[in-house]
Amino acid sequence: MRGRNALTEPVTVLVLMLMFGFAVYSLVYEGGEAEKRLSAEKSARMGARVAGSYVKVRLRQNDAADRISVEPNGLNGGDSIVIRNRFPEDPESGYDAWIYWADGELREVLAAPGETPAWEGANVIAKTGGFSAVMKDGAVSYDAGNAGVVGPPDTVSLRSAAEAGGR
Amino acid sequence: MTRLRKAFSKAAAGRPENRAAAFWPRAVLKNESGFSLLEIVLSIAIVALVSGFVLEMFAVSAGENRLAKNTDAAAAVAGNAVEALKAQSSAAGFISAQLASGGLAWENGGETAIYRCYDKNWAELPAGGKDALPEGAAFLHEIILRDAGSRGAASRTDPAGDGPAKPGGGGRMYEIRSTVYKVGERGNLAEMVGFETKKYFPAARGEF
Repeated sequence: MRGRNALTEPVTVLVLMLMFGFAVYSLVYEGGEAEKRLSAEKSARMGARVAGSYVKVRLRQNDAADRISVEPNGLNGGDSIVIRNRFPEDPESGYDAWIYWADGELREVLAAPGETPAWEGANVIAKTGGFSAVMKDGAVSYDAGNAGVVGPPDTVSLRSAAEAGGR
Repeated sequence: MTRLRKAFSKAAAGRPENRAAAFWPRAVLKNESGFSLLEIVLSIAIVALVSGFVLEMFAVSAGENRLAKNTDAAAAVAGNAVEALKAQSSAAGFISAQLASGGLAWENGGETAIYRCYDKNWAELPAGGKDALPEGAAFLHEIILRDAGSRGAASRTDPAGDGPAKPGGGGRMYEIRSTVYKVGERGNLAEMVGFETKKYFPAARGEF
């Protein structure tokens, strides 16, 4: 009986230490995982903001008649915003800027007027989860980053389209 | 220094207990009492306290992330309404477009209020006003469109309407305030994002 009582404390201590070790391990492991998730979400949001802001500025800069369109790209068939820059003195010259998404990145590549771009020469705008764009009634709605998972897409109403429509 | 190195190499080459003896004080090794229950309970309490703070830190960080996500979405919703107004040729056209896409409008004097409601995932709900929010509403978008009066003297290139007088304008100036509110648990509203701008609509032909 006395021997059994003498064992109670070491066994309890052992069990508590095991629980303690398990709790510490769980805390460290889950904490690390939570931190990873939060960091990934923050990075994704930052990429989406940078990409969205860049697209908005490009659309505003090039808001002129027949300059902006949304087309599927020849690389992966995804949506691309195509901005046609033409020199007023020579409408045949200039360049096209393609803004498209591939391999987790929103990219921009320049091409000769009407030609297919050399996709490998693109500049990276930001790392994003996807990109979709629609042009309807003179407004470009685009979703840079989360592909419609959270919230509505950003919309830029083109003043040039409003003017062309007599607005 | 040499003595110490000799002691370490002797201990490393010797039996395991000698190896331990080289690194731990004799008093520590001789103490066979281990940890008491009280010590363990106290250490668990300390770890629980510390982990409470750590977990709270994660919860705060997750909350901040959620707030950032919702603020981004709210800015997009509020900004899109302003963009929609800018793209319209008349205030009536803007209001009709809002109603056609599910908004709910009230008119009060020269002011029109348009409301849209969203759930916590930003899916649009049946529209409801400030006092009649639909169930599950987490965000309320309010657009106030105010007729700021006739700007007959203004030209189209003078949207602010405060330039030199030019005859034959006849249009109207409108002010828009697009605000997104977060709906609290008791239906109270907290402003998240708000944009304000003006738009001059020139009079259409034959509208004078």
